[in-house]
Amino acid sequence: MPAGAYEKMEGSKARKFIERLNKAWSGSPFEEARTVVHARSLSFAKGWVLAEASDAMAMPEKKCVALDDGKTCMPIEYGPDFIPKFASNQNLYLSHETATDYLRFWFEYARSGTERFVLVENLEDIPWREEPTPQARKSLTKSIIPLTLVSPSDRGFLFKATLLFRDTLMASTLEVESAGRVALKDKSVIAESLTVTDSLTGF
Amino acid sequence: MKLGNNKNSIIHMSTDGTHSNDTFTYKGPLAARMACHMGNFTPVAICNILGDQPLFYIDYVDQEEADFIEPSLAESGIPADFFADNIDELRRRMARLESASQHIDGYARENIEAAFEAAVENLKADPSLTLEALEAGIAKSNIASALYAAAAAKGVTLCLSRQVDTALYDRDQKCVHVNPRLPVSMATLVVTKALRQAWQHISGTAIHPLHFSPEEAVLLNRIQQADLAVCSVRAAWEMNLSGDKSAWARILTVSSYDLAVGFAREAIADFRALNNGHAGHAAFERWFFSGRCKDVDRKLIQSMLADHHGLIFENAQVSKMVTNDIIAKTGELPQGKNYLSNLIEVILSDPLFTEVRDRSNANFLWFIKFERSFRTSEESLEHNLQGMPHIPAGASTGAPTKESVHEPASVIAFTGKNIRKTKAKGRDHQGGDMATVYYIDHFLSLSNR
Repeated sequence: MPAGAYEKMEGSKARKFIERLNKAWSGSPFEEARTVVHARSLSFAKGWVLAEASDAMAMPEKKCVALDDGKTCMPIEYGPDFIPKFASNQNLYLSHETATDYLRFWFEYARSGTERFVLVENLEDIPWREEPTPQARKSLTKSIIPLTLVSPSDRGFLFKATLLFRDTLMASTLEVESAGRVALKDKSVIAESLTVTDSLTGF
Repeated sequence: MKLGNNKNSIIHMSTDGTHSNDTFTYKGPLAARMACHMGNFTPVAICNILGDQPLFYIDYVDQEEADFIEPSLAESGIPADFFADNIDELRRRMARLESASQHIDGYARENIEAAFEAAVENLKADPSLTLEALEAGIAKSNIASALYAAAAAKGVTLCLSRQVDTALYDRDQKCVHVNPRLPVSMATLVVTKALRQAWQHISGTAIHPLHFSPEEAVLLNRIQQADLAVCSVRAAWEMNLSGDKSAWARILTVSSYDLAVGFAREAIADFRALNNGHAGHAAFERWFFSGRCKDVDRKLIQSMLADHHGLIFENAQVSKMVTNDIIAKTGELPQGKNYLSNLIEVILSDPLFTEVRDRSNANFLWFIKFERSFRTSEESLEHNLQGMPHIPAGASTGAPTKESVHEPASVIAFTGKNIRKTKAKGRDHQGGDMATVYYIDHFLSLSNR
């Protein structure tokens, strides 16, 4: 299974995964017949896959994202602690190649109270509520710096990235430590008051 | 009425406003000149004195503004400037208006860099919400507590789980999962949304939009999403009135200003708007004015393309009828009037609600509809073929066989849309809808592929 690309999990593999997931998932069990599982391998944690199980027939849709190594299944916990704990327990493997994948994973699932830092690598990563004008689009496209490895640091790697925080686009420097901790170093505002969907309320 | 342009015009007037021979010549400074025609009276022009002051002051007050300022006066027919000479009353009104406007303008945007720093700091801490604190937060909002009471009566419980991002209603488990990392007010906000889904489930309207035909699915999905937003805004407003301002501040200053202002304007103008549905309807309409439709349409269309569901209501009329009923029921609230019941016809007919304005979404939707109608036709044809007698292999190519020459062609009753009635007319058949030999050949060539 290639890292980064989700693939549909089918057959006995999916069935076994759903069995493991149901043991760890706090909600009602996923039914095998109705659940669709997509998974991708993680380059920074050997043997682990990131799997997303969703029951789209349920209303509201039931969804769970979990880390799975074929024996243990751990549903992702949305908070500040889960990923560093996972990283320290599972011998995180960070290199020039894998640190980028790890950072994307971290930004997807790490939460700080009501806030979320959305990694923006292109304009389509922004959850627009109202589409920007062509001029704004052009200007913002020029301002967005994709996730870029700057240099190794004493404790890990330094990156430059563009983040969406609430309705503000920011350029930031990040440090990923070898133990998996991510530190947001400095920031500068690129654009404020963008018409985006609030990640907390969803509207 | 016409304006004169001669500086030395003589202006005639009488005390009773009618024309008379007693004339008065005004020789003062003239800023403007005017001649008035009093309908069919003769002589035609009767002039009034015009000076450097306006002839009259425009007392026009915008009705909407007047309603906003003083709805009780607007309802009683007394003009909004009734207290114009009463300074104390004017001051009281100004104070009341300023106090009301604080609910909209009194929330300064938080310094984003400071908020960013605080969020980075919070990555080290992990505050934990308790169910008691959450229930206390829910009690600050009437709509949230009413939804919670209705859900609890049906056995729905609240539970804390870090495995959900914000809040999730699990209908099989009858439980609303809430992430304990959220502060109480924000948790209340997201729980209200989940409780609303529970309410819709209890009242039988939580039907997946994909069970409907594509047009109705898009409309129903939009309405369901807008309804959740309206309930959240109302909960935030009520918490704001109870003194917990953080949820309202979040909605007002981050990204939902449009919904919040629409709601607050109605609620400030008349507190009854909360229960009679006017405030909810204002926010509901603003949801459709915004670009939120595009976002929710895209997600729904992606689900349609993934084809998780088949259509339950194959008959378009049935689908439409059920949609109407569900829309009407979606607006029901545990407290107050149904804010959608009077608007069903408008919702179904107004393009604001129904039109798929985004070109990309519209194209995909057209493709889905086309593909489904094609698939339905094919299934129908295959179904009809199963009951067909054995046809010699030669018939598949359309070549006349011995049997087909000497025996009449088998005619299959066909109830699909693509019916060639014209050719069937002359034949002796039981019903009006018959397929032709041309179709039979076509089916065979398809089935032999």
